[in-house]
Amino acid sequence: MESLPPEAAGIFFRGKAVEPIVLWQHKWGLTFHIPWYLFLGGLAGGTLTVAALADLFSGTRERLRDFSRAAAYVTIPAILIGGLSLTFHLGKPERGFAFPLFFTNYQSWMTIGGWILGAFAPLAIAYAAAWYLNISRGLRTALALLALPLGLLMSLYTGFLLSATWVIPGNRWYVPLWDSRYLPLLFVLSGISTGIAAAGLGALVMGRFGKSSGGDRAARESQGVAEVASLADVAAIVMEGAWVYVFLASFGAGTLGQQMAFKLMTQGDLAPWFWWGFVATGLALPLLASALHAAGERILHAKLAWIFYVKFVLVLAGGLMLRYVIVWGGDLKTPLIFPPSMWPVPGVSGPPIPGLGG
Amino acid sequence: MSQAQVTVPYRQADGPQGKKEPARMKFYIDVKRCIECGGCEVACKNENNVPSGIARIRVVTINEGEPGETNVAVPCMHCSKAPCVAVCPVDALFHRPDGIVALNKETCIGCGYCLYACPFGAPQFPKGCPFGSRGVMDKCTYCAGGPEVAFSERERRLYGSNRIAEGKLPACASVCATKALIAGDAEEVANVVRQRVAARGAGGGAWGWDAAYGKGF
Repeated sequence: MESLPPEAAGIFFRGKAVEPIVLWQHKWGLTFHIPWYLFLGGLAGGTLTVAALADLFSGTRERLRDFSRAAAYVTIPAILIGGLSLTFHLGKPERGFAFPLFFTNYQSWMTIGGWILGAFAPLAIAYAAAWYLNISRGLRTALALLALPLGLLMSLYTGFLLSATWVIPGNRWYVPLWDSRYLPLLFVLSGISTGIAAAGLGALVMGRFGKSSGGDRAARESQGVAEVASLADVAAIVMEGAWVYVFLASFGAGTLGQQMAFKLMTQGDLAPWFWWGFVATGLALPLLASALHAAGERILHAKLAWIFYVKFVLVLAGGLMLRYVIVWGGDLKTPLIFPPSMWPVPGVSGPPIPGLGG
Repeated sequence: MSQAQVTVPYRQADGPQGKKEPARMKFYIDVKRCIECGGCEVACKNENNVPSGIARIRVVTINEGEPGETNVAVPCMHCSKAPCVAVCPVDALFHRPDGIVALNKETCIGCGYCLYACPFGAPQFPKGCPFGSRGVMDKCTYCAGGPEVAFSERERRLYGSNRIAEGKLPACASVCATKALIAGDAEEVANVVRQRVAARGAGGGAWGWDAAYGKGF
């Protein structure tokens, strides 16, 4: 980092290139509302999206229909818990409930998100109700056609909610980790992978405990759903992993602020959480579990049904950890420049920044 | 409650249309002059009845005890394109006609979005509320009170004093012993900055000026 010329940061003060100072602000510390909301909101968006997709493309395939139903059911607790966690994170929760009256700044992603959430929750409930009451397929398809874009929008907005603090004013960089070019898509991909996992886990749990009357048949059905979910999740995890690689690679070779964020995530205080909590738990181990399951079935002809439970829980834990790492990483703010007379500045050529090491 | 109750200072000279324009209030933080006496912090707390756990202005020291030690007094800069105003979902933060970024505690929902958007760390939340609740945001008002009726008891309780309506400058800048913290209309402040830059050469020590008000004086 020290070898980087100031010009690379692209910041100029009175015509001279200067290095940025990192303003290290501890925000919410160990608060749980925001990461949990980002996780559950993204997850609910993902479950509704995959539910709608599976429903629309199911045709006569029973497994896809079961998968869609499970995903639609799982969306409800996710969005309810997530929405409550979002609301009670506010300093004045009672004012948050009346968002259509109070939220008047339509340039703010929180207002846009309020409306997305306000549309999403009733639609998710209606869609799950359509499944539960077994209403006509036509109505369900209509709801699914609405749910598909809205689910994607829901996951997308959790990313833009953070990224919106990024570019204003004058295209300066404030929170490098919340780059609007990388973060929203990362949250969408993570939302889809965690959504599929939640749907699979929900199907397994519902098959086991929910339908006592169905007996063996229900258990077999849920096993089939879990197989579909597991296969779909492999594809989702691979896409998410590829995007994480693009994210990190461009940050490692980016501006000074991006490099600091890269260092913080991969080598600094957040590294264990990022590598073990997210990359290993959320990406690598689930893929390994799928490989183990396939190998177990093909070679040993063993029914390794429990692997699905483990895999889905790992994907969910990894998705939650990703949100924590991203929110914690928001403490890294850059760059408020200090004039050259004030060099050396911490972290660039002066004393270390807390949390970043030397 | 309406913004019409806001008392705005006007420029001394006539504007381009021949009538008086609202002033554009700014801060100039001269990092070459600040001696970290803490007078601004004390004056602010004393003047504004600041809730516990909040420092509407604080002196940040970098490279303490080393060559190049620098002290920066950081209030709310009342930015021209304020990120907090852009992100606030309920428009609890707004620009007064004189450029002061004012806060309406009656509509703030306490989401903390402004805290993440602000490059200066100005928006803060009181600690020690019941049930660990965060309550509504608090920040520097430029000693201009809030959107309540000027000098009312309610304004005094929620926001502190309203020195702007009295025709005075913010308490912090008024007490600054070394004139490191300059407040006032943009034209007057820019004159001071230009004088100091001319005397010292490049640098000028106007920390945060570009981030808050854009390039140039």
